[in-house]
Amino acid sequence: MEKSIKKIIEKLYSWIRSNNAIQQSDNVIKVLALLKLITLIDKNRNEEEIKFIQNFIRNNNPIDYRSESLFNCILANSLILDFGSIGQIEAALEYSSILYEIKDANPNSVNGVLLNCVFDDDENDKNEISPLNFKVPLFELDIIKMINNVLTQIEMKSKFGTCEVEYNPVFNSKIEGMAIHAMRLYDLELAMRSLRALNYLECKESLAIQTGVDFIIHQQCTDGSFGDFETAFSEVKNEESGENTIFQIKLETAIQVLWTLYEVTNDKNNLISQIFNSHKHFNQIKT
Amino acid sequence: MNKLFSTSDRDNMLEGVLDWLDSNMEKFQTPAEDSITGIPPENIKADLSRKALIELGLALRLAQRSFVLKKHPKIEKLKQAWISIVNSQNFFFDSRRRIQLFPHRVVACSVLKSFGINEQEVSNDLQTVLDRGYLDRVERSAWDKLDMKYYIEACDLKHSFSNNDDLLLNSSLINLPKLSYIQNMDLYGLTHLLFHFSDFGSVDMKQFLGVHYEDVQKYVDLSTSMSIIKQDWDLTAELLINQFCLRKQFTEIDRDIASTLCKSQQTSGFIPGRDWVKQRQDGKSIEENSPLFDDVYHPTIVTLILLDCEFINN
Repeated sequence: MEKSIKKIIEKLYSWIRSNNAIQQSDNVIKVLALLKLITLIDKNRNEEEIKFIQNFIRNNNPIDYRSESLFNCILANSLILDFGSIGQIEAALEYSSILYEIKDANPNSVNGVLLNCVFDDDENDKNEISPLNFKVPLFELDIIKMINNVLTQIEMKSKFGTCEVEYNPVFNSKIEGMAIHAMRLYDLELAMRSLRALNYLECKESLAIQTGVDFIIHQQCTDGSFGDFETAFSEVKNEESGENTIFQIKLETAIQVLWTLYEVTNDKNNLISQIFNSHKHFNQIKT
Repeated sequence: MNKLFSTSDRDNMLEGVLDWLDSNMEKFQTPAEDSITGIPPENIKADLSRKALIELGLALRLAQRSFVLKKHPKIEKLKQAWISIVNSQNFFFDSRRRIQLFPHRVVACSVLKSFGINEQEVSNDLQTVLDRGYLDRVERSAWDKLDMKYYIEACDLKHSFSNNDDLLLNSSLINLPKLSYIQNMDLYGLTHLLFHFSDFGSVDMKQFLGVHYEDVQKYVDLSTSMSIIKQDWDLTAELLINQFCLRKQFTEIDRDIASTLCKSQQTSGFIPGRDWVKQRQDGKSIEENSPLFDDVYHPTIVTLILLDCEFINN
């Protein structure tokens, strides 16, 4: 598995590097986020690759964190803490300080939970075990919405897998069913979320996860990107910013894929808690 | 004892299903076979009405294996109604030429046999068709072959299909297709293979499937979890029958799925299909939202087969 993931990463890396759209300002955070995930999964980057990352950060400095998902911003910020120059790191720390300040502003939102996981300073909360429940509705046509709601519940209560949750095997089997359903719909984001949620429930031996990993691996295209969207893209392709739209979707898909692969193929490796915990600089913010 | 349903769920569900079938018996009427003329007999194809009657026959055939169900007055009434349609519509008319209707006719013959009715002339005609060396020799999937072979053997007819061990080697059971891409029809193929290889639980599948048993069991479990999320009651019921075929020791998960299936049953006794659910979501009143026979008859009959299995095994 490790070998095939290494190969996947190599192909994906060359896809990013060969794509001119990476320099477009609205793609910068996504590219940084993806590079962070790549370096997290495969730590052995050669000098030339490190140089590419450093140049990319330099060419796009200062980083504009607005209009991007918090998750991607956190990843991008972390990459700068890893590879940035002293000046760039200072700016990244400044952004982190802002996040730290607002982390309790909305603790019951997904972003609030995400920030609390990243800053990881509420040990008391982690001792509280939240129960997870779900009853299959009898006649619900909007199955995707139903699945999204359950997945949000798991992400929030397990704090993205950083704390224990209480559930029974019945609950577990429903999430497995959801993951397969999402794959059959070719809803990649939903499929990835479902697989990560299963991982938060510690179902590593599950056939659904095995099926999911195999599914993900086979979604890589010849150019190294992920997802077969040819039909969907044929409509936007000829629009003025069509190519960039396609690139952005592909970037987002790749982020989801790597996030999922990182979590489901590593023992007890939770991405969220890994991102910042590794940064010595980051502890300075807390003090 | 290996119960899938609570006793009250099982009994209420059974009565509901039987009542609905009884009140819809006229919809199981097939065309009068001897009135179809003017087209070459070889070109006459099976339609939904014949399929529905055959599937009801299957459920009644299996019910004969349970002492309780065999004696159940509502089952007996349905059985008589079923026989009456077969007779009144001259169901076996021109069996020697209407070869596209052979699969249904051989099932019907096996159903009559389970009722203790031996139609010797029908058996002779069906055997002649087989002896002509065509039906059991043309290209078919393992699923199709096994479906036909199972009922041919149930009628004590001779055939030249491969044995079950060879059919297994050519089936998807030993090379399970990835669930991430599976289509409903593929899953129906799987459910039918398990119905007929196991003779609905009579054969020890652990021994028959050997090293593949555990994989098939996990696959059926995950498929069932997926079908319940889709609220596909038809497939859910078929996959739960498969659990009986595999002689699974039921878990909390299986019982929860069975209980959810039970809750899907409507007041008049039918189990909904997807079209009915869609109509309901469109905000139609209960009167307007009368079930479409074509949409609900199959999940309802499959549920009866599932209940047959529950009674046979407990």
